[in-house]
Amino acid sequence: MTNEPNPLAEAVPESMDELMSRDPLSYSKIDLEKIVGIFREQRKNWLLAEATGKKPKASPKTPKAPKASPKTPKAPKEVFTLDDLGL
Amino acid sequence: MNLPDLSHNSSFLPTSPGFQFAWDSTSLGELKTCPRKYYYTIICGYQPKTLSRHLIFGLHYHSALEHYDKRKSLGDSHETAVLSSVHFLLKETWDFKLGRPWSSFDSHKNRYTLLRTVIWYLDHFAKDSIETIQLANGSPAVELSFRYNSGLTSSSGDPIFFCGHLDRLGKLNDAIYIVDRKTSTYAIDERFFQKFSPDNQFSMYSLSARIVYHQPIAGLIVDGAQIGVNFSRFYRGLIPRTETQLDEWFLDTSVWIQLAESYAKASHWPMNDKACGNYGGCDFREICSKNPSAREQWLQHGFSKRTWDPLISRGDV
Repeated sequence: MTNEPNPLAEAVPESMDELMSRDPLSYSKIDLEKIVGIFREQRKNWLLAEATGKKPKASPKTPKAPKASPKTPKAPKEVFTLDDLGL
Repeated sequence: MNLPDLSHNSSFLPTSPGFQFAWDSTSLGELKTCPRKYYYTIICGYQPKTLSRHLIFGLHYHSALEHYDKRKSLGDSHETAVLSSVHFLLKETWDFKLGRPWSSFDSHKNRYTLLRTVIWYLDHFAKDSIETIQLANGSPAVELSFRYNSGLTSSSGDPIFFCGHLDRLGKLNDAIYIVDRKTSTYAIDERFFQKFSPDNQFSMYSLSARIVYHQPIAGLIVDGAQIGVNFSRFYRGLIPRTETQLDEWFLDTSVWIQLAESYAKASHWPMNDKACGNYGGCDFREICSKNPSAREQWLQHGFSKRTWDPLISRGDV
């Protein structure tokens, strides 16, 4: 016997992705329990991380906001003095 | 200013064109913010063609929790009510016409974080110390709509009504509170709760619950939810309202309603140009920045129309 996770087990993100993209009228009770179970697992991990001060792993499903292109040059900050403004 | 046809809106008096006699906190809030905004949103019924993701998220969040409260009050266990609420929410956030889920294009407020927040909230408060009170008719005090004669009258003697919708009345440490839920992408701290005192919506709710349900309401309990990208965090805050504070709010409201009547009589709702930048900017700022003669065309192009009738619509989020 080994304690290693079953490599054939379905990964959580794909399972969730598939579940959430399904027509909601097709859900069985088991599907709903699965969705709730996945979110509860996340909560457990989050609470544990909060309690221990560790940063929880980012959810693989959560979309990330797009990053600004590094190529975009920043406009130089213009600084005016009262003299520039003729004051 | 032009008045639209208000014959289909039961909250306006046919005898006093443009004057609203049934007020909810949304319409009163718009009037207080800016009479011109009130004219556009409540009287004319304009709303942005694309609703804000914050508004959509808040509406779904509220209705899912309301669904849970209802199931619980009907005798469901926590587990059954959670599953039922999740299914309800999945259906509510699905576009059956297009066969796809609601997309907000926001990393904080989207369908996924909505489901997560609802499930985490329900589990967080599963052993809730707030006990839902029973009304005099024996029914649990959840999903309460109210409408009553405020005691105020128009200049021609017509009664002014207050109306709205409360989530739940609950008892905590022998005091009765209105329970409400709010979401934010910012931290839920002292400042978050401070913004509800004073607050138009909560004062109207507190006053109305005392009058309609004959309960000595101590104020509100607000369950604030911080929506992060990878987490949802909850805090509960008490928002007290004393009798004298509510008396003051009522007096202030009577003056605001007199003002509403004077605007209607003059057929002119002035701009409050000091409020244009509030909360990230008013939806109508661009309209108000145009020449008056061009505004109607811009409104028709950039906004859709709906009827805001507090006698039939749901209240605030």
